[in-house]
Amino acid sequence: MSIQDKPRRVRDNRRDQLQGTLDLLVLRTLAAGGPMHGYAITERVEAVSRDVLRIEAGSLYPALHRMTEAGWVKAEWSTSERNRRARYYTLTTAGRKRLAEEEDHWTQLAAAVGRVLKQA
Amino acid sequence: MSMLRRLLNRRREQALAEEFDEEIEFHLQQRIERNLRQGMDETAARAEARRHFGNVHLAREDMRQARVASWVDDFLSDVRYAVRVFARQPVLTGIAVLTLALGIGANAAIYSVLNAVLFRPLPFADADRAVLLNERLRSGGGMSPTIPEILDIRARSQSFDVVTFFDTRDAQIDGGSEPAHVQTARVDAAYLPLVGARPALGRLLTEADSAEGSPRVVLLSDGFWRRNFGAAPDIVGRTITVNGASHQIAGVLSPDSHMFLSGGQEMYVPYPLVPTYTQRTAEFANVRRVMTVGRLKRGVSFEAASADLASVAAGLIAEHPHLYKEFGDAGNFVIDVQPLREAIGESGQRPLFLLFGAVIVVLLIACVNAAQFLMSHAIEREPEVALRSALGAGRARLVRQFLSETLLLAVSAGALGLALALGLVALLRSGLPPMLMVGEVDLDLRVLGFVAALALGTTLVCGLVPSLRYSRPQLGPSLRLDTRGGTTRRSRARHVLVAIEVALSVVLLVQAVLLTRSLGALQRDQSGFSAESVMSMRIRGMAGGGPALGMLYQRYLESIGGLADIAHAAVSSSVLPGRPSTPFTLVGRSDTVAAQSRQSTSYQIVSADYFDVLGIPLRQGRTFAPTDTASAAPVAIVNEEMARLHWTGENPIGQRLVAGSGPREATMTVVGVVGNVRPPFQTGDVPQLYVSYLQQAEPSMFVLVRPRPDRPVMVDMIKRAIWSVEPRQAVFDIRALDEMLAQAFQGQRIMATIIGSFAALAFVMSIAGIFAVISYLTSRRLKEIALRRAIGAQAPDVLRLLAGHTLLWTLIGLAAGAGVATLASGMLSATVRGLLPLDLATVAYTSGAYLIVVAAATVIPALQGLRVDPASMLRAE
Repeated sequence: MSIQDKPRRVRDNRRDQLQGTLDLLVLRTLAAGGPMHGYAITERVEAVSRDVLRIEAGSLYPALHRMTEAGWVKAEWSTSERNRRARYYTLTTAGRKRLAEEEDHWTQLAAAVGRVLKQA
Repeated sequence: MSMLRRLLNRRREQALAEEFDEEIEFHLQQRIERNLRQGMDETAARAEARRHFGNVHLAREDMRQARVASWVDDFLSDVRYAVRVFARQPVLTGIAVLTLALGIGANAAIYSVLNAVLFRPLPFADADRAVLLNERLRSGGGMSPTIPEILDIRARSQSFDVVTFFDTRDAQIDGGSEPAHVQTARVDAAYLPLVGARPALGRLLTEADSAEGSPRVVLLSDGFWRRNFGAAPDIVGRTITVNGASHQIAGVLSPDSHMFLSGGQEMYVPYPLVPTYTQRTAEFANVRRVMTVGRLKRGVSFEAASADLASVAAGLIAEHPHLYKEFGDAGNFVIDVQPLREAIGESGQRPLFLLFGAVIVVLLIACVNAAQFLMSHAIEREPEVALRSALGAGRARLVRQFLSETLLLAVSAGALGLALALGLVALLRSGLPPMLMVGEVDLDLRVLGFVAALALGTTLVCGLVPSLRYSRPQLGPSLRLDTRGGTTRRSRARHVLVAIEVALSVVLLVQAVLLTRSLGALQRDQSGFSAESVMSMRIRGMAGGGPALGMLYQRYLESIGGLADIAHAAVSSSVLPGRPSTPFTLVGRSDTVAAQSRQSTSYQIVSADYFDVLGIPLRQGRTFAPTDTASAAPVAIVNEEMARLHWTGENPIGQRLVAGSGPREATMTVVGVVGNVRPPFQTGDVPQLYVSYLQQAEPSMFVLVRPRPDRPVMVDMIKRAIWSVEPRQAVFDIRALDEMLAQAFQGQRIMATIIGSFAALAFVMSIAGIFAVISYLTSRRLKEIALRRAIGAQAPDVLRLLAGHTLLWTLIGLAAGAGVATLASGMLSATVRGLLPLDLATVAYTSGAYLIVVAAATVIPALQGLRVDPASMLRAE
């Protein structure tokens, strides 16, 4: 029975604006750093961006799973540095292609925003 | 994301959830360790990690959304909900599912017969190009081509890969435990390969086998080889004696070699292509008893083949005008092609379509019941639907909910129907008359597909309308949870449905009653003889014919008559007199020739004891005597009807008449008068003529034996008595005469049984449906009834209110049903031989009886409405 409609649509809208960026960050990080688990991704993004960008884990894992289903990344259970089971993500060929697209898109967007900032 | 993967994920849901938890746990642990390293205390480290992570539950839900197709979930929850809703009305749901299942099951069973008789493709290569060739006169009448014609078609037509033919005949073989009678086909060499027959041992037949003077060979069917030769592996090359001549066994056919057109043949011999058959001037050139089959060339249409054959026909007429002049003008003679598949189904088509029509009526009633149910169901939940609507559920979402429920109904009814069909198919398999079929009556994929389509189609049709209608509720009244307002408006539609149900049931009931009455009448109409305890068997005389044949039969009868337990034994050319189709003229009469040319009689060759065996009384004169031989003057025995028609007031004995066609024509003297006999399907008395078996020879005879009272018929002893005269004589088709006569009405009986069962089903279903509707409508109006009674309405008023409308609509349904029944019995009488005309009494009694039961089904629930105590009912309000 589903008398009440689930409130997910509302949240999705808010997140959609960020999603492209999140995907880009995750794919880029994986491309640079090889296989890593979710925690390492957040750490690395924070470190590289000097704590400007922070990835909320609550968004990261659904995104990772979405990208796994889409075939951009591959997930495998493996043992971490301190001998604990963790899920490691690797970029696939399709993921590399996607990354290139996202990067182009981002560059264009950034350039466009830059032009608007300069001229307006 | 592939839909399939998402669907599969659903099954791994549990495992995935655990994995996800582990992953989150890992993440939190890493963060906690980092915090600890930075000097936080345990509690603070944990709190920071959680805060930093965000909402775990939302993340988990989001991940689930990413993986599992949510409509599957919605659907499953819809179905779960539907189960709960249906469980709240177990009786109504039960009736709906059961009636739908009965309708679907009965349809599937009949369809499985249709499938085998009409639809299932022939199981050999290029079967779609296989055709039957026939000749036809545009003025009416069809016939088989003669052998010379077939050979000309084969040589001249452009449309066929193959033109081939066969015929069937009896054969007698020696060897084995006793002389056997074997159904045999004489086949042209190309026939067996055309229908996909393969040799399991040895070879098929070749053209050389058909040539004049070639050694005699024979092929055996798989069954015959197993039964009579113990499946001997070295059978090829052995010889058997067929009709007195030695034949070499050339091969055994594989068990999957189906001979569709020739039925139960067990041996195949080459068709002799010798001048007596192939020359137009020869003795057998005009014999038209072969089946002609062809295979069209690839890409040739039936129309093109017909045009081709028309030019062949024109050529034949031009070359042999004297042979075709009896067929009238040139355009009158046509050679036709018919798809072989169609030809095979033709015999069963009409009765099967009638049965199918009847079973569709049953299904329609089931559908009406289900629609009634779903409407009650929809009304029942109007408040709930309104609530959901008010809370923002879209109409599409509501329709989807209704559809899931309908689907649930369809699947349960379909599954139950399939189980029913399995049982029915087993029944049908044993009960159906032999029809030309491709394969067995079975639930193959095509039938299963039909069942699925039927289940979905019917439930969708009867479920969609109510769901579309009630998915748009009127929010105001419904939310007030006050159901009184809607009842009257909607009960109109329900009463129309009741009328439809009544009409459909009456149509079937009337046909069932009519069929049963007709069957009874047919059985009663047989008279003038006693078949009880008479045993019938067939023989085929082997002597050359003429007087010798009569002498042979005489010796058989003497030998059988010597048995202690036998009271009477006789031979006869048929079991009972046939239709009056033999013309005769009276000698020494002043009647005009024209008047005499119209009279005809049955003509039967019998031995003297025939009348004693069947208990036909001798009224005057004598029966045949041993002295009535071929060399004595021809004599005849007539029945009373013949005597009454022609010799009223005169003594029939000694009168002379000319009867018999062709070589049988003779001038006979009447020596006796016997009682009238009415065989099956004969309603009045007709002239009947009997002649002596010693004066007219007939190779194919029935031996009829009546034992002494309370003595069993010892078939083995009779056989041995015959073999003591002629050891090679095969005795076959051994059957009790009354069983054999009952077989005459087999088609009628099957029709009556099946239509009767359908009618019974329709009856029960419609009554159950009406009962359910009235119960439901009454229960909806309890408050109203209470109010009316409280302000003074008497019991009859309330009854009129509750039942009056239904009974009115029932009457309307009855009237419509009676009208349709008249049309239906018209169609039935075109198919079922001996059907009585539909009379008013049948219609009146049937509808009357039905009306009484409907009245009971209406009044009983209405009476329950009366039992409600107004005070307590209103207080509950």
